Amino acid sequence: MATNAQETSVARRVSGGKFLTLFLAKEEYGIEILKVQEIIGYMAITPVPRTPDYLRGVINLRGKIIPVVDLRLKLGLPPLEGQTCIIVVRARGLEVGITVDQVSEVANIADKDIEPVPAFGNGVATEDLLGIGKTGGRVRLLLDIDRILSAQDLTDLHAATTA
Amino acid sequence: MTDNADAALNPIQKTLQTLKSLVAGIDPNDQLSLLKLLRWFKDMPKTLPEAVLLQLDEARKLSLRMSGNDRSPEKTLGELAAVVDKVIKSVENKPSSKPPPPDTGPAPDEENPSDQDRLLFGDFIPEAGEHLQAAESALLTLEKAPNDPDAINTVFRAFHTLKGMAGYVHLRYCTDLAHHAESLLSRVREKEMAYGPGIADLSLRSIDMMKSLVECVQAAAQGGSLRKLEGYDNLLADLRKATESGVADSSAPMPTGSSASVPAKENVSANPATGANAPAAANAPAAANAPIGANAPSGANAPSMVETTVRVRTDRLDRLVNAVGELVIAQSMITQDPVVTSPENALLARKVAHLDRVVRDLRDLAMALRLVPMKGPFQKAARAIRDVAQKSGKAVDLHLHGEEAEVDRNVVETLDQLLLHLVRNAVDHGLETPAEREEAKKPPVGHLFLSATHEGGNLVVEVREDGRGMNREKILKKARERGLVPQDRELTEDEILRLIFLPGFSTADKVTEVSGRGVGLDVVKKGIENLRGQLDVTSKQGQGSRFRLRLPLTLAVTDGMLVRVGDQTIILPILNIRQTVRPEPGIISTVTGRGELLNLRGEMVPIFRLGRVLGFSDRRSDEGLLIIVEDQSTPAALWVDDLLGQQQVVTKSLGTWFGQVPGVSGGAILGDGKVGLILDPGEIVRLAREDVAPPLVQPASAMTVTP
Repeated sequence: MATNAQETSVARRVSGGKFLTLFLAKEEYGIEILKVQEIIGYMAITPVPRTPDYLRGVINLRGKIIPVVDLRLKLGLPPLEGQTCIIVVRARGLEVGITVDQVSEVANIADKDIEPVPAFGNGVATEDLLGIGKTGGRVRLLLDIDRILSAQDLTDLHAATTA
Repeated sequence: MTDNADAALNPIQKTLQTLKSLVAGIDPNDQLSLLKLLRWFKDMPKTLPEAVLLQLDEARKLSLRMSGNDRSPEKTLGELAAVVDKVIKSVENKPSSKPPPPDTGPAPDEENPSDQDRLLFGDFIPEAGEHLQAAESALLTLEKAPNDPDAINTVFRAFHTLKGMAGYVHLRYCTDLAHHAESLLSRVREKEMAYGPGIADLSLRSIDMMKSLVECVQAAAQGGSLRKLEGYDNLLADLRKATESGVADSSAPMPTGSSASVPAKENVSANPATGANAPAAANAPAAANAPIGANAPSGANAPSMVETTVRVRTDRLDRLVNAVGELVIAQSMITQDPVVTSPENALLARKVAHLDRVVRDLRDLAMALRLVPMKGPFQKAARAIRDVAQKSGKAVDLHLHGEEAEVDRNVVETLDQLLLHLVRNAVDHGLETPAEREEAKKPPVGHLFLSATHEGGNLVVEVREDGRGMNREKILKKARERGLVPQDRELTEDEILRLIFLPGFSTADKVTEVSGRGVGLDVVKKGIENLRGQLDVTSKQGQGSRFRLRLPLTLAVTDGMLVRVGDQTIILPILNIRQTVRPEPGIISTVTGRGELLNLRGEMVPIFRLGRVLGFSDRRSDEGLLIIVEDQSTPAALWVDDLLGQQQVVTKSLGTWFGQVPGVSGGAILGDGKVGLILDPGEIVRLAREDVAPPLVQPASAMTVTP
């Protein structure tokens, strides 16, 4: 499927299925349901010093310490004050919490309703998107959570801050 | 030796025939006949080659099964008979299957083991490791007491057993090497040769080669091929030559008396002067120390091998320890729950208290499972000492103490390397050559003491020698030259000594030579701190130096001081805390309006606001507490908002996601379910110093002290 959609846009990199949809700064996003492990209400996050801003810190997930990423900050959206909701996803085999404004629903998005991401320019990070889902007149930006939460990104940052 | 083995075949076969007839006479329903068999296994002649013993073990297990609740004893009996037959056959085949040692030439250098053999490698590897360790340990005993027949026997037996084991799984290179080493040692054992430095070297080389071969086997177990390693042929040739014609140094006159008076550690060829020292060295210290050092444990070792142990995979062990850690946390949550603590529920509280005790016991037990004795690291250290002594032409008498002291295996892995660093340093830079020692009116043989003891919840390891000691003037001069200390800054004696731990103090060889110490001591120090331990040094010029390591017994649990910083709870390892001080106006001064200094009984200590260092809060309050910690052995004060108490916490990693967070060594789950960060105080201070001007570079006179 990636081969037949190579026009001026970035290839669509996901097929249809169930997506957990969520809100970030009034935009609606979707994450493949298979990546989502659980949704937890807000809990106290312990900040970790000298890490990038979008790293909110760590939480205790049943005895396991997992990192929490502020998805707004990670995607370059303005920060949201106050309590948010934490979704635990499994990205590249690791459990990571992400904070979002609000979880919406589990939506079935058919293969035919997913369009490739058009090239925007303007520094819009289209590479973080797998595609654009449109059902019932709603547009949902399907997130490449593996890419967004790639640990490599972090270690690079680390090397930069500690060097 | 080969003759011996062949001659020994007959009694073996006889023994096995006895076994066979015993097995044949078994009636599964007759407990008495079974009992006879079990007794035979119990008194099994230990003279049997260990390869055979190994196989017989399977038979023993089968017979044990039969004596228990075996549902189909007939079937087990059949299996048993088959095993015994197999053993008998393997013994018959042995002489023919043993490859003639010198004819290894035409065989290919690489070979692929059969799948069947590969399966057996799993058992071979750890057992080979054990035998090699036993042999190495015995060789170190021989350094001290070259005539110790038990030690020679141990080394001999190790190679002998390895030969059998390797032959069983068709490891040609291992078998040949073991065979040659065994042949050489058997001549020593039969007193046809004296044990001397040459044989010691060959034996150690054989052990090293065998280790490499075993590593190769390990790789092959996963599907690689076996190959001949570099130097293998040379070693075999050397072994053969030595077996046939003796080693240069030991073929010299060898009346029983004088062979003992050539201490193996003397590097005869490198330093002709030591020849003169040898008798003196041997007469006094060697004789006096023989019972103390490595000699005593070797005697005790042999029986300790019989200790009943079970192999457990380390990841399972780690998971168990983690699970118990969770249990401890869950338990402490219950204990602190208001329902439990309320006076109405005294009965419940009593039950919870009981549970608490059980959980604690369980935790201690689980932690103890991961403890391993210091014997391993000490042995490696002893080996390194020998090598360095030989290379640098020094005579060293090693005194080991506390090999049985235990520590978490996760600690041992790192400790190993650090200890090697320290002992190499001690021999290379601490101890003098025999000639130098005589000049200094000291006995020519230097003494090195390596000890491990438990103190409270910590392990204390000491490396002490009676060498030249450190020259503080030279250290200070060098540090000034390198810009580590300002020219006009005065330092106390202890402060000068601690300079050797500064990074950059000892990078150049030149420096090492002048200062007499310090190959990467900063690395050692850092390593110890990573293990949440401490490293101290004391030294007296002309009398030697002492390095003292203080380590937590385990990394799984940290004795933590819980402090509040802003609205966060932070954990500082108690091991890193020197003391706590209330900040009173009289003892705190500001420096150019920004930095703060604490006057700690005359010692000026920089203060760092932990909240600011961590970026949690920039608020500057006069409330709080100062925690004195050490970085690079210089004290620093961390200002925290409050002290919440002491608690043992289960250490967890923040996960691979974070990698190494500067200043944070891990996290722990606190009683309220939140995560608390465990800090590495040394690194925190270093980070803080990067923000503030480093105090050492700041000249003392330039400090504007305002009350």
